[in-house]
Amino acid sequence: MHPLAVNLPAESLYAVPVEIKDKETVIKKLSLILKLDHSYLRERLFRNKAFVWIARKLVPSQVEQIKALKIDGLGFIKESKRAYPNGYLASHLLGFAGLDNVGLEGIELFYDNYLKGKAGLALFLRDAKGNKLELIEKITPPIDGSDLVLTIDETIQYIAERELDKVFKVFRAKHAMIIVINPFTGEILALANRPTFDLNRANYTDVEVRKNIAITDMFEPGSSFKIVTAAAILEEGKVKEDDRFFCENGSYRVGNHILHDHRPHGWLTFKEVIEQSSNIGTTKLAQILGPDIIYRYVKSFGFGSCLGIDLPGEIAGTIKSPKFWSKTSIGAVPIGHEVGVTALQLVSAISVIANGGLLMKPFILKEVRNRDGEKIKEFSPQIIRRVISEETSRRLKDILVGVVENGTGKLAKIEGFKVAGKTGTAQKIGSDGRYVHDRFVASFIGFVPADNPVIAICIVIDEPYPYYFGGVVCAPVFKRVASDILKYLQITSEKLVALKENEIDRVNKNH
Amino acid sequence: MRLFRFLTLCFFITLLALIYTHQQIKIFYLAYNNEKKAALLDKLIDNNNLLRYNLAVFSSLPYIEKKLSNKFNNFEIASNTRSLKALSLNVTSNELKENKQNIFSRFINLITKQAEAKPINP
Repeated sequence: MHPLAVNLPAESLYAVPVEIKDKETVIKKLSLILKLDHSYLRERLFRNKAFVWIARKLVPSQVEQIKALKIDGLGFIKESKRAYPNGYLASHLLGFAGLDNVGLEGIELFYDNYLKGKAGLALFLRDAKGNKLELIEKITPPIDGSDLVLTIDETIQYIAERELDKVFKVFRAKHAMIIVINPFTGEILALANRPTFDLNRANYTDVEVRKNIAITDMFEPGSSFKIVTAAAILEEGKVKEDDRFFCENGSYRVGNHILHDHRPHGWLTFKEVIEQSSNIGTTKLAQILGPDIIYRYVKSFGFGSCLGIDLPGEIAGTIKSPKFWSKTSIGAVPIGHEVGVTALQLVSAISVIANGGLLMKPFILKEVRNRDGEKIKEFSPQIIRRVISEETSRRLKDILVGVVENGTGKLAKIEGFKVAGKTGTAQKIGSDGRYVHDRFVASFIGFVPADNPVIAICIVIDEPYPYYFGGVVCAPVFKRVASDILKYLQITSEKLVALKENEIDRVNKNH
Repeated sequence: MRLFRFLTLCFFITLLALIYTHQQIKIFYLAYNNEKKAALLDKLIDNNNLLRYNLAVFSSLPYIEKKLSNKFNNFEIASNTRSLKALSLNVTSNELKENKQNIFSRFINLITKQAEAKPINP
């Protein structure tokens, strides 16, 4: 395990203004070393106070230069400074602490109570010159803060961020998000956003960049939301995989709106409706179910409410109650429009299908340890609810494997593994409240290996350019991230397992 | 006699005072020494923390990537397995029979080590 955040010693400079004789000279010298304005230093040094801070938590080189000046009236107090050895890695997840080591964002804020410890108290003697003597009259020992062991894996986090960086730059996106989760436990293995920032320079970073948009921002997911409709119709037993639906050759009226497919289709089986991501086919499935059932499954999958992740700022997203649905909503909600979801909700939803039907609570903190490394608290996976049966989950897995093998997610295929996933491409809404034709949100949600999933991943790219389809922009990211993670976790490909079993059989027969 | 007692008393009081003063001086002397050692210990601990932080930075993946980025833009995790597709040998049964060993070659094989590959039944 490597530390992601540590405390380092840092000296802070103070001044006793009444003791400084030649203030102007001191201002000039300090301004050169500390790169501070003359006006700021002047305001501080001409205060009628016995003690003023000049600069907090300086770097060692600055401290040495100031000490070398030997100016009366300047002194140093030793403090501790929060430092992050990995720079930008997991920046949105870790968060950062402020000047007084109080958590301000992310895990630093959420678990500040564990991290900060408790200050102690000591009464000691000083000599006539004011020097402290190691003679303590009374002491209340301080209580050190605890160490937190997180669920994130540094290597998986790095792999995810490396690929997210590439796609963010190549497609000149506005934002990008990736979450990697263990679908059976809800442990977050990696979470990253772009643009990002260096945690050691958090104070110099724009507030908008510091937001953990994977949980604080919602978007219309588009076709990746169809997994909910597909799960609902299978669970309700309304269709079978081979049932056929006419997809109106790409144009279908719903209320006063014409619904289109990205490619015209005629007759498709239910499986093909999902594989080819037909909006019309999905709407017809939704019409069989009705708004109330769809709404129930949407809520059951965790949309429209907070999942309870241990990070600050999580939002619930939005889903309209059926009584507020318009005539066109039946053609919008089931295909991922008129709903607001977060990337965290999407990855949790795909995990439901991956793990056999359970909605797991996502979490980041695994253990709390004291300074000696002893475990004082441990956090276990929690089931929120059962959403679908294991049988439905198994059938849906096969369909989602079909999306990657035969459908819109072909670029997510990984040699030697069965991948299950769903692409999404959603038009964004402009400032006038209408859908625009030049701005999209692309997404891909999936898990691998399909039969015994180890990881589930959600990738969301906001306003990619010039390409915007989820299958083109996000599916290759899934492939690259998942491939490397499988190698890192030493998950053997199904082909190799089959070869090995065949070889073992052959050897046994010969003997 | 009275004078003797007085002087004896003064002597012992002075002695006690001297012992007390010596004790206090010793305590302060030790306190100053301890303070220096405590300061030294603090400095060593701080240096240790800084070194450990630097080690963490230099061994971090983003730093390694930055150092290698000019040479390896797309380095990937190596797989510990490699699957190879073997070509079919199309060996006939007659050719298989010809590969059977005679007595002489079997005798030679007993006394020498030889690597052997046999075709696998598909």
